[in-house]
Amino acid sequence: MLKSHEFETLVQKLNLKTRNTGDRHAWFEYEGKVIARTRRSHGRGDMPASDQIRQQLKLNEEELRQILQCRLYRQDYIEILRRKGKLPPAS
Amino acid sequence: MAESLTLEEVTISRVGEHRTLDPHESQLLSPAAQAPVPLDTSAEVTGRSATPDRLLLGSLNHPRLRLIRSLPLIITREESYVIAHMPELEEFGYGLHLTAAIQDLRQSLVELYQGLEADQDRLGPDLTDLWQMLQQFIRAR
Repeated sequence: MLKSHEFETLVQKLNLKTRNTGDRHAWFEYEGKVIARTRRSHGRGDMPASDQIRQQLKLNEEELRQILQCRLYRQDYIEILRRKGKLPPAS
Repeated sequence: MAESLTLEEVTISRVGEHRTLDPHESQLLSPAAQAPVPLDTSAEVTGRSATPDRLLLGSLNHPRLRLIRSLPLIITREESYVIAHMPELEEFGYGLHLTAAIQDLRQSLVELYQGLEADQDRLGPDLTDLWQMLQQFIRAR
């Protein structure tokens, strides 16, 4: 399970934009385009569905772990997305 | 002319008072009736659960949006939570029981639709595909 503060780590490390409604929505923007999005319910503690959150952000388990361990940052995430064909190649 | 009433004599019993049991009560209190009843534990033994693995979601219960096709859901458990997941739309809802998970998923779908609709001119390729797929399931009323 992902913890609420780990979700916030993802928001911070990947520089995700956020909006609070009934849930906390977070999305990744690159050059004005919305590339990936996820959300969590408000509240503290453990959150289920960490696999679904990871998949929404186009990450594998190892990549998610490394972001939470502060080994990967926004620029690495951009490279991951580019490698997976979610972003246009660097010009 | 005054009307006169004749009242029947009644006996009011008090709590704890001894009285004769009727045949039905006697049957319930017989040793055979008081023997332990074996529980059906086959579900635990075989791992079967009362929560289904799959469901079809038929409505959003929303004033502005409606489903035009049923949404196939996968239901899983994660510790004390139930998760309702729709892989095609990469969307999920969760809660402490199935009804709460479905309600959370409905809310997520509504917010997803509204969010993608608002941003449809600036979606990346994956979210553009998601927006197109979402419109195959959800329409405005």
